[in-house]
Amino acid sequence: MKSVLAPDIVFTPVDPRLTKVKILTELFWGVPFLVAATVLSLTLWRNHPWTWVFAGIILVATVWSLALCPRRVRAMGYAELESELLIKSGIMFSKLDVIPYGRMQQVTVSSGPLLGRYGLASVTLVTASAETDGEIPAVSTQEAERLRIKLTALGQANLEGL
Amino acid sequence: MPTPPDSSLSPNLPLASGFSSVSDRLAASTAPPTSELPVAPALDEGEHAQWHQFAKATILGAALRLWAFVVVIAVAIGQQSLSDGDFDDLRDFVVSLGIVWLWRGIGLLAGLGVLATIGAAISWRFKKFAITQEGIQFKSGVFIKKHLHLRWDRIQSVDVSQQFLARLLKMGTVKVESAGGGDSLSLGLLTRDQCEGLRQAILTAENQARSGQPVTIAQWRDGASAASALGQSPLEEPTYRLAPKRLLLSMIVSPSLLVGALSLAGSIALVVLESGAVALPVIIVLLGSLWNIVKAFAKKWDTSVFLAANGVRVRAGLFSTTASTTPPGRVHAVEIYQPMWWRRFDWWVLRVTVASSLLETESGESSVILPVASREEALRMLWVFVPDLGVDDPLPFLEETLEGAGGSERFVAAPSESRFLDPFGWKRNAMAITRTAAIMRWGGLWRRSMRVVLHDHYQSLRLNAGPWERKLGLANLRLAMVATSIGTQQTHLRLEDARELLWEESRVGAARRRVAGKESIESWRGRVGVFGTTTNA
Repeated sequence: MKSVLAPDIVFTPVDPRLTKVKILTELFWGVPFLVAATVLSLTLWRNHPWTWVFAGIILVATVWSLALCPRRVRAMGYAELESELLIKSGIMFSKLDVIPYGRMQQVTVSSGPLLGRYGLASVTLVTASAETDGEIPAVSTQEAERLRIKLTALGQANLEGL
Repeated sequence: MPTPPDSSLSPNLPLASGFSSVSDRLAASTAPPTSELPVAPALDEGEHAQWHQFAKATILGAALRLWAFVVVIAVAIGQQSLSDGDFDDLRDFVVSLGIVWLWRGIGLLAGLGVLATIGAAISWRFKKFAITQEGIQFKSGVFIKKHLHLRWDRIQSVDVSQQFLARLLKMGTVKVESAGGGDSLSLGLLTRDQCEGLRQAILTAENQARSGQPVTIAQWRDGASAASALGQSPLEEPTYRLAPKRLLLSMIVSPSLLVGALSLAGSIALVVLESGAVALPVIIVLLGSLWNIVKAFAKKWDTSVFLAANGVRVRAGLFSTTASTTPPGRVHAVEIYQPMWWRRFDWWVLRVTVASSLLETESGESSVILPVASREEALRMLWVFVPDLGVDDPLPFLEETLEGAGGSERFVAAPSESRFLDPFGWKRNAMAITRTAAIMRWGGLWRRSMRVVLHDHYQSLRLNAGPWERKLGLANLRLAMVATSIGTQQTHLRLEDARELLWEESRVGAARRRVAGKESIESWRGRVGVFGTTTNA
C-alpha cells in the first residue's frame, strides 16, 4: 500500500473489517434523521412540498459517505520504521503523521461495542502536543496488543523528554 | 568569571556590543551587591517565625469592588436595553420609581458595602505570612484554614503589581509565582516601599537558598534600598524599554486607528445630520471603542524587559502593572514579525512559544516579549533565547531570512504554482533546516514573519495536502509543538520538497534529541551576563 505523500514506504493497511463498522455507524446516524425528515414531510409539512429537500439532502449525504467508506478505509495505513511510526489517512485531504518513538507519552488500546464485535481495536498514541493525531483506527486485537507492547518498549528505550 | 561562550551568533553581531559591555562590567566588579538594610537570619517554622500582616487598606478594597461590580451590572443592563431598542422605556421606568426608591437603593448599597467591609476585616485578621529557612508560608481563612508553604526552589518569579485602587493609595501587591503553574501567592496590600523591599528580600533569599547558604532576610518592613525606583533589583539587567513616543506612533500608524477615525467621522456626521435621540447609542458605541483603544495603549505602556536570574522578565501596564517571567529553557519557538504598516520604521514584534501550563491558557498576547522593537533589539532578543542558529554565518543568514526572497542554498522556496493560493507572499515563502532549528519564512505584503522552531522540541511531524494542493503538486508541513501560540506550519511547498524536508527534519531532530544539549539556566545567565549567584566560587 502506497501513499502519494511518501511513495517509497510500504504501509500496512488497517483491518478491512473496519468498513463494516463504519457503514454501520453511518447508518446508525443517518437513518433516524432520514426517517424523521420523511415523516415530518409526510405529516406536519404536508402542505409544503418543498420541505422534501431536507430528506433529499440527508439521503444524498448518507449515500455519499456510505459509498466512500470502503475507499476511505483502504486509504488508512501505518508503517513502523526504525525510529518513528507513520500513520496515513484520507483520500481528498491526505495526511501523513510522523511520530518519533521517543515522543510517545502513552499508548492506549481501546475497543467499543462495534469494534469489539468484529475483533478489532484502535491504538492511540499520545504525545505532549495536542496537535498530534496518532490514531490507528482499527487493527485486529492481537496486532493491537503487539503494537502496544512494542511501542511502549520503544518509547521507554528512547525516552526523550520535552 | 562568566564570559560569553563561543556562540556562533554573538561575536559576529555588532549589536552584541551591548552585551559585551555588560559582561565587562561584570568582570570589573567582583563583589556582589549588598543591601543597605540590616539583615537577620530567617527563623525556622513554628511559633518563633515572624508573622506579618498586611496593611489595613486591604479592607477598603472589598466594599469598592462590590460597588464597582454594581456599576458594571448597571452599565451592562443599560447597554443591553439600548441594543434591544427599549432604552426609553427603561429610562421612564427608572424615573417613575421616584426619590423614595433612590434613597432605598443608596441605603441598600451602603448596607451591602458595610457588610462586605466587615467580612473583609474578619478575613484580614486571619491573613498572615512569614519568611522562613525553607520558603514562604502563608496562612489565611476564617473557618476553612489554609496554610500554604512555598519552597524557595519552586519560586519562578516575584513581581510587584498595582491595581488601580492600590496605585491611588500608593500601595501594591507582591505576587510570587511558583514554577509549573501551581499555587501562587498574593501578598498585599503593602506600601510601595515595603513591596519593593520585600521583593528584593525574597529574591536575595531565593538566591542564597539556591547556592546553599543560610537564608537571611533584610528588614524590608522599614523601606527599600535605592535601586528599587524602577522596580528593578541589582540581580537584573534591563535590556529593553518601550518609549512612550514609539508606542504612540506605533498605535497611530495602524489600521485599527484608521478604522476608529473613520467611524468617529461617520458618527459625528450622523450626530450633525440626525436628531439627538438616534445619536446617543452611536456615541456610546464610540465611547466604547475609544475605551478599548485606551485600554490597549495602557496595557503596553512602558513595557520593560529585564534579564533576571530566572529568565526574561517583561513588565508593562499603565493603570495596573503586570509582569511575567519566561524561563529561557522552556522556549520552544520564537517568531519575529512585521506588519505592513511598520515597514517604514523597520519595527518588529517578537513572540515566543513557551511550554508552560501558566502561559498556555492565556491568550496569544501574553507570549509577546517585545511589542514594538527595532530590528537590532529584536535580533538581540532572539540571541537571548536561541544561542545558536545552526549556521556558520548568522548575520547574512538573518538578512536573507528577513529580507530575501526565492530559493537559495539554504532555503527551500515555494514553487510558482503556489501563487494561486498565496498571491501576495508566495515569492518569499520558504523554509530552511539548520543544525539547531527549522526557520520558516513567510509573508510578503500584509505581514512578514520569521519563525525559529527548535529541533529538539517538536513532538511529531505532519505532512498534508488537500484537493487544491494535490492538483497543484503542493503540500503542507507542520511541526507539532507542546504549545500553539505560534503556528508552526509551512504551507504550499512543492510536494517533493516537503517530503525531503520532512525526512531531513526527522533525522536532524532525532540527532539533536540524542545530543541532549539543552542550555542550563546557569550557563544562560553566564552567556547573557546576569548576576546569578551571590558567591563567585
